[in-house]
Amino acid sequence: MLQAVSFTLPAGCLVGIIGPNGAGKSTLIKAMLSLIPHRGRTLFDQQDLHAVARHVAYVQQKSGLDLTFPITVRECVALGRQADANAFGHVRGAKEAVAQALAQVGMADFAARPLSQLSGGQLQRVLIARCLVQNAQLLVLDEPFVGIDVQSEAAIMAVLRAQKRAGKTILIVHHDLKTVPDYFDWVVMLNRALIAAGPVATTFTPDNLAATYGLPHPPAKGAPDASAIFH
Amino acid sequence: MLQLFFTDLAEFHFLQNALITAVAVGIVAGVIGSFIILRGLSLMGDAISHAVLPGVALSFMLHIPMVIGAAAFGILAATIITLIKQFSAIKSDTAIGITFSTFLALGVILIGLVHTTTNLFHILFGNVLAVQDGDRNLTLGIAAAVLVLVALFFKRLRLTSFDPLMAQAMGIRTNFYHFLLMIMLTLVAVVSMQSVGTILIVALLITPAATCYLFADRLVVMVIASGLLGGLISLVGLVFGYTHNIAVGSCIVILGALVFVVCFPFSKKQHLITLPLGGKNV
Repeated sequence: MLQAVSFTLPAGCLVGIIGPNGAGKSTLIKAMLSLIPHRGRTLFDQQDLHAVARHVAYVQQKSGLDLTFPITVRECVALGRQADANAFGHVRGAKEAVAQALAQVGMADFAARPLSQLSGGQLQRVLIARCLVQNAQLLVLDEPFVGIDVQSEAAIMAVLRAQKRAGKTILIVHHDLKTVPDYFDWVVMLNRALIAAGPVATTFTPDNLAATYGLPHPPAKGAPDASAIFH
Repeated sequence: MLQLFFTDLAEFHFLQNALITAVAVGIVAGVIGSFIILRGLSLMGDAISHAVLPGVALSFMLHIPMVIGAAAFGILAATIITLIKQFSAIKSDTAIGITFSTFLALGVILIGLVHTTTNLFHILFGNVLAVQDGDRNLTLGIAAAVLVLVALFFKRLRLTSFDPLMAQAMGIRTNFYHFLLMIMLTLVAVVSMQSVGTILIVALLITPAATCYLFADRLVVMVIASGLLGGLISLVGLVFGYTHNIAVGSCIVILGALVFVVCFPFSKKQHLITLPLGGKNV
């Protein structure tokens, strides 16, 4: 159960959602996207988020996908265009948009590959390309960096930063505290309830980290010590 | 064996009806079965094929077309199972178990009450050699309608089968496609009763699709191959069953299982045996 969560985020920024295992990070984004029963509302630009769902791109955790599903990289990325399709799923301009998105994430050469033959990093790049194809205003990614190589993580961050510069808002459920100051502009800290939400510079503090991760005492000084929290 | 079959095929109208019906059912069951197994709904296929039985009996009682009663009960069962799954702590396999056994029992009782020439054994295990012209035409009509629906909604069915959460997040009504599939599944179950019967329909739905799933890298390939394989095993099962005077429905099911067993070690997804000219196993 996740409760007492209320915060406002500025548009056009990278937001990290952090907290210990079981804190309710994935639950929060699923509730925001109306994927699970919940109480409360999520507004996007003064409108109910569910009413503007076409502008929302969601990438669930890799573990939630059936990676043996018979689908190629090209077909998977093209799914993003379904947001603009009619009830039969037909939409124009998908081919060009898919080729462009795959080039942006450095996966153009893999277009004909089955999804089942990709590494974790390659798969995540494909899922990001799917978001690009959708041209959504809000990107919601659930732990996109888990189990992927350093190069893929860097490539994905470069694409996401470019998206941010284009005015998109990006919410990411994230685990690696060491990279939080580098990756995000804002941070939402959860542990079964909202602990803190705000700009990284003022919110990602030792006190808030201690409260979020249930540590008895905050680190004495300096930057938050992620290794102390995880090990 | 083949000569006898084709001689009789040219001579007997009932055998022509049987051939057309069996192949049409094999094709359409293979196509729908692809989506059923990819969505993890194999048990749902089993449940709906059993749940149509009371609808069949009521149709006889009320003198309405069998397909209407059967479809109504198939949809009712799918709705009950979906509602139990969505709004309770009961898991879907439990919901399916409760629903389908109840409907099957109700169907057996109602069939017993109906004074009809239709034999319960034939409903449960099929009798493709007794297919009338009307049944054949109904099967062809339903098979054509289902194939057209799958072609029309293919992209949405692929999206909602692969990543339903993403589809839901972008505002697509995934429940609409779920129930569309359930309606098609029910219709296929109704027409399959003639060839393999309600007990064995699930095999025709699942086995060809599962065999093609072992090799397919694209859904469109899997769906087409599964339809063709379903049609082929129905044809061969009919020939074998007819010429050896054994139950055709059971022949079709066992043949499908044999094809699966032979193919299984060569699957790209199992990595047991790599074919010299096969694709790269990763």
